[in-house]
Order: sequence, then C-alpha cells, then structure tokens
Amino acid sequence: MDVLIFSCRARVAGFFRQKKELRVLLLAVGIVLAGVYSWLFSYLLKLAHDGGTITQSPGQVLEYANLLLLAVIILKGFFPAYVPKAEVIQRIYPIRPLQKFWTELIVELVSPFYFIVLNFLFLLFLMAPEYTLAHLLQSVLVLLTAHVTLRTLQVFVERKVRWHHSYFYMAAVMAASFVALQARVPMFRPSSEWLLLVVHMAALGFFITANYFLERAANEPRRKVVSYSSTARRSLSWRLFKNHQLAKQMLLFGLVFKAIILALDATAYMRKGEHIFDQILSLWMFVGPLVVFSYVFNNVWGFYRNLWLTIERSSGSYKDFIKASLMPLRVPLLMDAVLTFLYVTFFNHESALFIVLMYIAAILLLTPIGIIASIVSPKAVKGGIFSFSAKTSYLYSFISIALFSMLFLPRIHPLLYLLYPLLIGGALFALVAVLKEYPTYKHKLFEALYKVEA
Amino acid sequence: MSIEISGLSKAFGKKHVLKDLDVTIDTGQCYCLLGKNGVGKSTFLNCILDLIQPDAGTISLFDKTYMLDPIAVKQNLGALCEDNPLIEEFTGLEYLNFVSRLYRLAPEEAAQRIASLTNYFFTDRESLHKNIAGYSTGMKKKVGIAAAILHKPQALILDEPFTGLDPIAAQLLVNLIRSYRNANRVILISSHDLNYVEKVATHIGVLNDGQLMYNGSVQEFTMNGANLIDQALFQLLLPHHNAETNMDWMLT
Repeated sequence: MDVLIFSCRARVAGFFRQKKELRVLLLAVGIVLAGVYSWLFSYLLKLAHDGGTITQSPGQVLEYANLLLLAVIILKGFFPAYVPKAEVIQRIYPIRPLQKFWTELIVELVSPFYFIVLNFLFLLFLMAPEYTLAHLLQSVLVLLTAHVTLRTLQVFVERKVRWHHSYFYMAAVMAASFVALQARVPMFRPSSEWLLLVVHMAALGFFITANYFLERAANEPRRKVVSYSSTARRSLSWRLFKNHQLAKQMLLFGLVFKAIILALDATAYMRKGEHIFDQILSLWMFVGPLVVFSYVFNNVWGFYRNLWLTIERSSGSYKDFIKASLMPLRVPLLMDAVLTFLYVTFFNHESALFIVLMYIAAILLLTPIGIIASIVSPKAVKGGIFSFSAKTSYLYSFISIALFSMLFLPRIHPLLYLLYPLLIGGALFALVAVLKEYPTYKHKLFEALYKVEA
Repeated sequence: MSIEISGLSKAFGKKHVLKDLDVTIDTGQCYCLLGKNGVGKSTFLNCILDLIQPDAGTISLFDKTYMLDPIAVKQNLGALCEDNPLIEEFTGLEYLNFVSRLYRLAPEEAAQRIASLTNYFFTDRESLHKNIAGYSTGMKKKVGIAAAILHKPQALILDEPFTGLDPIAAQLLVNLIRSYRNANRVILISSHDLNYVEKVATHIGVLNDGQLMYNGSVQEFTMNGANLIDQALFQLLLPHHNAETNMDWMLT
C-alpha cells in the first residue's frame, strides 16, 4: 500500500512539475470539454426520452456513450502514436507479482485522461436524470474493461508470450469466461438492474485475472528482429517498415482497423444498398490516409530520427531531409491506397470521385504539413495525443486534423471542391517558407530529438 | 559460495547465445565479465536477474533459487540493468525513495542512505528535484547505481556501469565498488572499460561463442601483471588477428 500511495502521489506530482501552467490549462480545457460532452449527451438523452426528434431510445444513446468510451480508451493507446505499457516496478525488485500487477494497474489509472473521463461521466450523472447511479457504475466498469483491454494489447505488442505455459492457459480460460459473460450480457448495454451490475463486475474480475495471468506468461520483452538483406536493390523504405517491429505492428493495426470499417460499409452496401458512411459522416475520416499520416508523421521522428541525423550529417541539405521524411511513408501509403482503391472499385462507385479527390488532396496537404511540423515543432514521440505525457506536437496535430476535416466539406456542396487548391497551395507555400529557414531550424531539430547535454 | 550457475543455456531463434555454462562466483570476489559485442554478456546477467528465462540450467544466489523463493533472492540482489529503466516522470529523489519502499527500508534509514549516496555522486543536488526525463545519460546512470546499492545487497550486478560516466564519476564508482566489496558480498560486472575493470576486478570471465573461454583470477589472466587486461584479452580473443588488413584507402 505504501508503494502504491507513493507511486500515485509521485505520478500526479510528475504531471505538473514541468510546464505547469500549460498542463493546468490543458486539464482545464479537458474538464470543460467533458462538461460540453456531458451536456451534449444529456441533451440527446432528453430528446430520446421525449421521443420524436431522434429515433434512438435512451438505452441506445447510453449504449453509444459506453461504446464511445470503450473505443476512445483503447484507441488512444495506438493513435496517433503507440503508447508503451508503463513498467512502474521492474522485475528485479522483491515485489510479489500480484502486488506488482495491482500497483501498476492502479498507477496507470491515475492520469489526467481518466480524470477527465470520470468528470464526463459524473457530470452526465448530474445533468441527465435518465443516467442513473447504476448506469454510472456500469460506465466505470466499461472504462476499466477498456483499460484492461488496452494493456492486454500492449502485452501482446511488447512481450514475448509463452504460448505453452500454464499461465497462458489460465489466462485463456479466464478470458473465455469473460467473453462468455459478455456474449450473454454485454457490458456496454445499459441496465438499471443491480444484479446485472454484479454480473458485469464478475466479468471484469475474470478479465483482470486473465490479464494478470497473461502478464505472467509474457514476462520477457520481445527482441528486435532485423531482417538482413544482401540485395541493395531492395527499397530502403520497405526495410525501414519491415525491420521496425513496433512501427510495423502499429501500422498493420491501423490498417486492419480501417479495413474493418470499410468491410462493414461494404457489407451494409451489399445487404441494403446503403452506405453506413452516409449516415455516420465522421467515419469518412477513415477512408482517407489519416491512419498512415497519423503514424508516419507522429512516429517518424521517434522511430527514424537516426535516419534524419545520418542524412543531415552526410549532406545537410533540406532536399535529402525531405527524402528522408518521405521514405517511411511510401510502403504504408501504398498499402493504404491499395485498400482504399479496392474499396472504391468494388463497393463505392457513388462517391468514387469524392474519395479519389479527397485521398489525393489529403496526401498533397498532409505531406507538407507533416514536414513543416517535423521542422518547426520536432518531437521525439513517446505518447499519444490524449496522454499528457505525449511528446506529439499538439498544435500541429490539431492543425492537421482541422485541415484534413475541411477536405470533407464537398460532401455538403460540390462547389466546395474549390477549397482543395487553396488548402494545398497554402500548405505548399508554407512549406517553401519553412524550408528557406531550414538551416536555422535544423539546430533546434537536433536539440529536440537528441537532448544536448550541458 | 554465492552465485552458482550450472548448465545455463539460452538461444534466440537459431542463435545459441549461452551454451551449457557453469560458473561459480564466491563471496569476496569482484567478477568482471568481458567479451566482444553481442557475445551474450547482458543475456547472461539478465538470466541471473530473472529478466530472461533460460532454456536450461539452474541459477542459485546464496543457496536460494528463483523457482523456490524469488522474493528472498531479489531482496538480496542489487542491479543496474543495461538499459537502466528509470521512471521518467519521477524526480531522481522520488525514484530512490520509491526503490527504498520496494525494498521495505525504514523511512529514516532510507532517507539517510539516499542523502549519503546522492551527496557522494551529485555535486548539483538541485537537479535531483527535476524529472528524470531531463537527465543526461551519466546522471541517469548515477541514479541507477544508487538505486542498486541502496538496500546494501549481498550480490551487486552492474551491467556496463562505467559507460556514460564522466571520469570523476567513474573514479568515484571505482572507489565505491572497491569499498563495497567484502568477504560477505559478491560483485558481478559486465564492462568494456578495461581501464576501470583493471582497478576493480579480482576475477575475470571471458565469454565467447556462448562459453567461458577464461574463468579465473586477474593475476592468472594477466600472468601476474606481465600483461595489462586489454593485452591479455586481445591475445585470448584474437590471437591471429591480422592488423594489416587492407586499409590503405584510409591512409592516402
């Protein structure tokens, strides 16, 4: 308990030790956003309760809220950059595995992100009479389940699992129990019955136990496996992609996620002749190359900064710098483009023009923005955008998302395609301006990517 | 006897890094493990630290094994790992306090030890109140060493302890290792810094091709001081090295 309390206190103190004002401001913004979203959901709940304006029932709205919570918590571990699992207590210390597990699990939950999420839930409870105490507790259970899911995925990404170890079998049995209960009574489906809450708690208990056994079955980190190639003709960008285990896994995860969304839309189209994208407009984001850009330009300086330095030392030219920036983009972008264009060819002729134009415009827009961000606001990435320990440039992440979102305006009216040349032209103009200043920026780049020791 | 290893084997894929290794390191020794890059020194230490699961073999520390009593083994072990994983959100002082709690040291005792260790290694104590994320490699290493020694372990294992330290800090570490060694303790070091190894080692192990090519005292290794450690190591590992490899391109 002493270790747990100390760790939690030190973690909270650590968040606010540096850039205190900025972090307090971000936390305040987060709480305000939590309030806005709570109000939004309470309004939706009221509409659903009154009936007429929206077709969903209050139960469905609450279900969406829980699913959103689940998705955001899991995805924040992977987008825009992978967040490694926190190893608070190393294995060399004399701490029992169970104590280590609980301490780490609880310490992970002590974060501004979860604080904001809890604020959202609590404010929703205060604002919406339809959102009862049982619903609130159920949402907290969903939050915990999402977090345990995230750390389970992190274990699979980072550690070598001993598939034939008894701990893995025990983890599998526990996970199967969790899945069996979830299949019967999904946790995200709201219920006011307290008995069901007990069932959900039991399911979470099974899942946490599974996570514990999985950690015990996977206590060794994965070793980096480098694929050597004797042929000089094989592309460097392919080798960069192939040899970086973590980057490769994350990109594949992103692409699989995108493929699932496209497949869902394709299935809906085949069955009903309607696209789910037309009903849920925000899903259009995944049709574009956002996943790839999110990874490459948020991770490239974390993963491939040594490539930049090598090129910088060899020629120091911004042209080589741009080549180095674009190199890791080629293979993932090719894979993403193939996926997108297969979808367009077979399942979405109606919006083909929009998708093709938006996709090309996104590349032409996000590439210069990414390079500008890398020069002007270089960060060695370690965390995700929602994590306060993130080293991603918040400003440029938001600028990119905002500009990318503007590419979807032609869905409102085709005349808005005229925005495309303006946006691309503006981005290219900004890139040229920044490149002129590259000799000045590159020193800052070095200081940010490689801490200069005094 | 203190650290007893028998039949230790470990392979990564098809590469056999450690092959049926037998070593006994007695109390009172400062055993330095040498060898070329990638030969498996860190793997060997990580197996002793139970960070890597060996494929075969047994490891016992002071007649206790990880299998039977992992907590007792770890309580008696202090280690500086190769990648020195500190918690970057903590300050140096917070981290040392955290470690003292992991070893269940009494708060007053811990405070006293932390103060003496930090006074010993850090002239600029102000930096200990900043996040570890902002520390230089050398500062992180000093925090890692202090954390390893804080609970006065009987077995101290240091992986590349001199790398990244400035000459003053490295000499302080040499002095600390010398004074730490006594008849009840054992120190195991893996290092490439032979100048410092020469100052602290009582015994040498040379790992090559998964096995110990040499395992014995420093005196024997250097033929009673006839050779320096680096000369002896060079002769052992590369007896037929052709120093006149074609490097003419570099000279003109």
